[in-house]
Amino acid sequence: MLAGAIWAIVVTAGMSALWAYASRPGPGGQPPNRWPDGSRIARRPDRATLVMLVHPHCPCSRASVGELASLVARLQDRLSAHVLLLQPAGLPDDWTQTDLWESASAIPGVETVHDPDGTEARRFGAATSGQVILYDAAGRLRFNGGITPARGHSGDNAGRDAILALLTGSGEHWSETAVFGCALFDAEPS
Amino acid sequence: MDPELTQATERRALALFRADQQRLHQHTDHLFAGLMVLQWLAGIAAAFWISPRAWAGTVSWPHLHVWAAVYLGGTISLLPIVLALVRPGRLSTRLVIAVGQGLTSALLIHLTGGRIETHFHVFGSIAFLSFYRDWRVLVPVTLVVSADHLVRGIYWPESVYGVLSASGWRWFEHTGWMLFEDVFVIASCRRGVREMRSIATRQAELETANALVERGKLAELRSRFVSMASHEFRTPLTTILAACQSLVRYIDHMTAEQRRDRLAKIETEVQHMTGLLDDVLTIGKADAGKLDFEPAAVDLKRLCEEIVAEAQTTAAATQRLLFACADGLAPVAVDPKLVRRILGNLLTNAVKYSPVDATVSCQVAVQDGQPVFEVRDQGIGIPTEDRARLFEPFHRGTNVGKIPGSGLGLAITKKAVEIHGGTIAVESSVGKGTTFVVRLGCPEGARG
Repeated sequence: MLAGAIWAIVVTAGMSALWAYASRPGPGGQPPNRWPDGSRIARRPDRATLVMLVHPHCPCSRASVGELASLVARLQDRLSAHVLLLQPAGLPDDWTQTDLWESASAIPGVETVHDPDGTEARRFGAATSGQVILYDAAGRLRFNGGITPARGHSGDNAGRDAILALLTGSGEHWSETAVFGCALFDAEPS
Repeated sequence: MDPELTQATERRALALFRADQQRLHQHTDHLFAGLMVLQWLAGIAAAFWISPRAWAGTVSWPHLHVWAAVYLGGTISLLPIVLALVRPGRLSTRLVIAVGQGLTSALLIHLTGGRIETHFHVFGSIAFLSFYRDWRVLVPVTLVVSADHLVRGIYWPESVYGVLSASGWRWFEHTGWMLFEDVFVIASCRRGVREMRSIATRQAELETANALVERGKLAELRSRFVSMASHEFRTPLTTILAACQSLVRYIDHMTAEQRRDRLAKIETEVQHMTGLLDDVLTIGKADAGKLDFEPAAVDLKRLCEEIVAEAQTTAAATQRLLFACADGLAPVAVDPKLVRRILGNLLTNAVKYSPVDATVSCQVAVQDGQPVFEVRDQGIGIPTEDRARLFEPFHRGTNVGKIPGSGLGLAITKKAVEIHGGTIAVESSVGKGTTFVVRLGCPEGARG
């Protein structure tokens, strides 16, 4: 009985720690309220523009890319989507060519590009892999956050629902959600 | 059926059912112990494949999932495996296994990022747990998996300005599908248990029927023994009594020869009764598996000549005994006392059941190192209906008439042949005669 109780406590603690980790968002980032000048991403004036910033080796972002595919399929003509994969300075192209690159490239209508030295990521104020930033046709910020319910988990989530509502005209004008993924940049020395 | 017998049969059926159930539970516990190990290893492989490292820019470290797969997965599997090996068959063991299986499902689903395919592990687990045929094990696995979803929804809800997401309804849907499967699995478990009970009941009834048959056989055997004993002992006792009474009353008037004659009769009948008792004891020892068997290298021709000479004494001048055996036979390993019984009984029967002036032949040979005896007579023969019971104790042929006999001779002969690893065969025709062929084996360690 005692062994069973100890086992139950240890297992419960372990599962709780796992779920706490899965539900801990990455570092927050604040994108500009209007489309940033100087971005090499072409914004279309006739539709909303979505930018997703991804660390090519982040395992949690597989779910984010999967959710993006689902979104794009449902919002085909209302959205211009771009996926930027971080390429730190001094590292070759093939460091970026991971399964995430292939998955993103396979989504019809999505432009997948390198982000040398994270220039665009910094320009858009992104800090966490999987972060999605949505600007409307007029270039105003409408959504900033993640589109997964937890780290590495796909499924129903507030971010996806918010974007769908925004672009179908039934939602709020502005939404923000937590982003679950790896940090895009090295930790700042303290 | 007798009510007491019915109750005994029901108790036996219950005992058989519980024994079968215990074996099933223990076997299934061991299966799950193996499955737990495989699942633990699969979880580690999944973690290394899907999420080996976490990153921050260019810096990486082992992902928490790897540690979770190794340590948390190992912990989840540990108690079920230990209980399956140390306490198999107990209810507590299979309940812990069910909880462990549910936790493993939750862990695997988490490690694979909530893939739909991994959710099949839940339904597969419920199906595997049905092997126990105990619906109670489905309760903990269903509760654990449902609680995993529910507790996450409560303590780690995803909210947009405080509004819960649709994951609350998804919990309800997952639980509903599990309950759907549970209903059918529970029905299957209950049917399985009913079938096990039915098989146990049939087995108990068969055992009871066999016991009744044995009891009947025993009663018949007892009846035959009493019948044989009363006849075979009464006759010599009557003779002994008559001889004793005659000696008591007339000894002073008898000649020496007459006294010797009476005393000789008493001696003969006592020896006859002693022989009969000896046969009864021998068949009792043979039935209990305690018949002494002491093989030794024996000159078969010389031994058989002695036995035939003794039988010739019994036959007196009424029948002819012919003995044939090749010279120069190599010694064979047999128990000489048992061979005396075998050949002695066959020759005694052949003489006893043959008419006057009939011929009884005895041939002895060694074929492939095995002694072979053939005893042929021209006697009354054995009816076909008696062949099946020929070697049963106390059984006598239906055509023996007033020829005396205990019915033990052939029973002892067969036991003695079997203990040598041999065979005995008979051919017979009523009114024409009978031939017995005995072939003795070569028991291990008893070669000449």
